[in-house]
Amino acid sequence: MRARPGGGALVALALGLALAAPAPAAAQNRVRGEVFVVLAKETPGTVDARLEGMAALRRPPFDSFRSMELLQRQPVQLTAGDNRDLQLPNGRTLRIRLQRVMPDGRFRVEVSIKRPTRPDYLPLLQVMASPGDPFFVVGQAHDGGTLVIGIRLTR
Amino acid sequence: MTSPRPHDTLQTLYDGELTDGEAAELRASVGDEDRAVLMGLARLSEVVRAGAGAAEEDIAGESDALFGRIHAEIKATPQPRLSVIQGERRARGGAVAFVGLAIAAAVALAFFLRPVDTRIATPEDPEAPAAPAPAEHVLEAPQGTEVVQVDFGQHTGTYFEVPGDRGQPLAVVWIDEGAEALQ
Repeated sequence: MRARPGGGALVALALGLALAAPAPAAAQNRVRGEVFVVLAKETPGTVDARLEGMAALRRPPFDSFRSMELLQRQPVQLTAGDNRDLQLPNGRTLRIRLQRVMPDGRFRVEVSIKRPTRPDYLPLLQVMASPGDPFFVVGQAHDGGTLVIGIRLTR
Repeated sequence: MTSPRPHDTLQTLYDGELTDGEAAELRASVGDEDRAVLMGLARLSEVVRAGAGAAEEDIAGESDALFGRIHAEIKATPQPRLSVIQGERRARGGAVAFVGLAIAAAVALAFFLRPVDTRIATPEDPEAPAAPAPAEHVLEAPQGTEVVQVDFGQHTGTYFEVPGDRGQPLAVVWIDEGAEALQ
């Protein structure tokens, strides 16, 4: 049985149209990332080996902490406009919201830290982040130390 | 006895150029001399007709001989080889042309349908992208992270940058819980 000569052309046309069609907006505005929560203390101790790749945590003012323990390392997937809530070790809720992916590839992110019965601990933080580069929220007292929250988003 | 008719008049009679009435009247009045002229015209006509037929036969004979020689020379001359185009091959050629047309159409569609964010930053829409900068200024996206806005709520705090492993600035927001931390 011989194939119709025009069949290949139609397949090529369909493929071309599929490639030419713009990618769905949802796929363009969906990013992956991770949230890591570190308990940092000024008392002497060890630094978690899983943090060795985080050069910023060895620089001032983080070098005032003499021990660091990685309490959480949570992968996240964000879609623009949707909230992603994570429970922190101190019972508070970390809310992350991807506002949008910028034309230059950076992410515009909103972060807040909420408390169950009291006003928000951190009502609003807006950050512009390049893929793979973290930003940090430091300051919550917990278990004799301070929580250091790092957030890093990638494609 | 009637006088002889002019030859022109007899010629018109012989040629049939007179009306029926004129021809009948003339035939009734022709004498012996006129009849001899008419017979001479008839004989002359036969001679001319016979000569013309022979000439036609000669021309036809020469024409047949001429075309015979032409056909013989054509057969003797080497002819170029003709290539036969198969129907399937022609169809494939048409398909290839159609595929090329389809690809060209797809490329054109890709160009015209590519996603373009047409929003321009305005005070009413601060999240819209800024107007495109001149090409010489668009080298690459800034690296690192930076604070755009922060609301510490009931606390105090600060934000700054620390260098990352590539020297890129990394944003740090430091919240001072103050007395709350002692509670």
